[in-house]
Amino acid sequence: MWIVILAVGLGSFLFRVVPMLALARVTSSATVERWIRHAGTAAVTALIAVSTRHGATGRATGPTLAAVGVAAVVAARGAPMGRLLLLGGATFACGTIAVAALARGF
Amino acid sequence: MEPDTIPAAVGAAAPAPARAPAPAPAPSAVRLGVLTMLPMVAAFVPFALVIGSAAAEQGAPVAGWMGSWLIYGGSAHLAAMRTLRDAGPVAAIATGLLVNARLLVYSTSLARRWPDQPRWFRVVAAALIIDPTWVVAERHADVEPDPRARRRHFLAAGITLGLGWSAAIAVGVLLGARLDGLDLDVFVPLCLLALVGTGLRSPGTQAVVAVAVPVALLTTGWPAGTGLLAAVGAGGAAGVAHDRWRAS
Repeated sequence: MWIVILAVGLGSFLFRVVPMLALARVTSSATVERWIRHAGTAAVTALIAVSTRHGATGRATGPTLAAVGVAAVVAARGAPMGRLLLLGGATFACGTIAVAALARGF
Repeated sequence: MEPDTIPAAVGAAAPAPARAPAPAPAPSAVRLGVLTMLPMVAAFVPFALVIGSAAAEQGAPVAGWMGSWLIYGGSAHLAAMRTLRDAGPVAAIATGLLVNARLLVYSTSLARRWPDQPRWFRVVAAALIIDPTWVVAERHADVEPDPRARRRHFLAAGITLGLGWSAAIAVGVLLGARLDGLDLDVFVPLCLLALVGTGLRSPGTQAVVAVAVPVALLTTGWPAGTGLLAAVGAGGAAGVAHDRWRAS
């Protein structure tokens, strides 16, 4: 485990520090600048998709998708982070209970 | 969305010419940084508990906890530990690095925002760059032109997140398998969604999302982490294409 943590940690720091030191004053085209800004949003979005897919397995599929869907609507409406998590978490909990109830034959 | 430019008179180290006394930005910038990050720290606690629990289950609680500072990225940290369990250390290192390769984008973006910051700050700040701090720094840079205030705000926000994140992972390590009954994985996408927030209403962001999400999902079968990079590239290109279409 240690070698993995150290190697990933060192590599991650290089990912962070090299552009910070080398690219601060490097000029590039407006297209590249725009891509950099949009790529950051794309990174967060892609992580959302991948983590949702990871969690949405078996009986958790429906509740996970419902929770993420509710959270996306709430986030787009500008709700604070706490409310988003509360509503998303509550949706997931209700969905999980409903799926469990259905599985028992209710 | 163009990067803002910092007026030379504001960014220069020399004292500004006589002008009306303004309130010192430093304390408020620090306070603002802490207050901005505190809700995010609370929101990321479930995610951190998942990571701490996974570290405890692998029988390496100290190494797992150290990753909170060394890797300082939940997705890469978790992916590396899960891959280590399933495919060994080489694959785990490659996975962790590929997942964290998006940091190149965040760091490049912030480097453009901080051209006048001292070298020491750029090195220290680099260690604190991750999704929430990138979002917070970008938003703050839109409204705060003073480099000193930006610096203090970022350090306050980054250290607040780091301390909270590390403490929550430690709790997860201590609780370990007792968290197995709780299905906390769902909080990972929820936390990340909160970072995108109202940006989802922006047509430019919608174009990015419309491309990045399907690419990320369609490439999940690719070698670990590479699909994420493909989604980053495609999503960024979609945003650029959207900007050009709007401008034409």
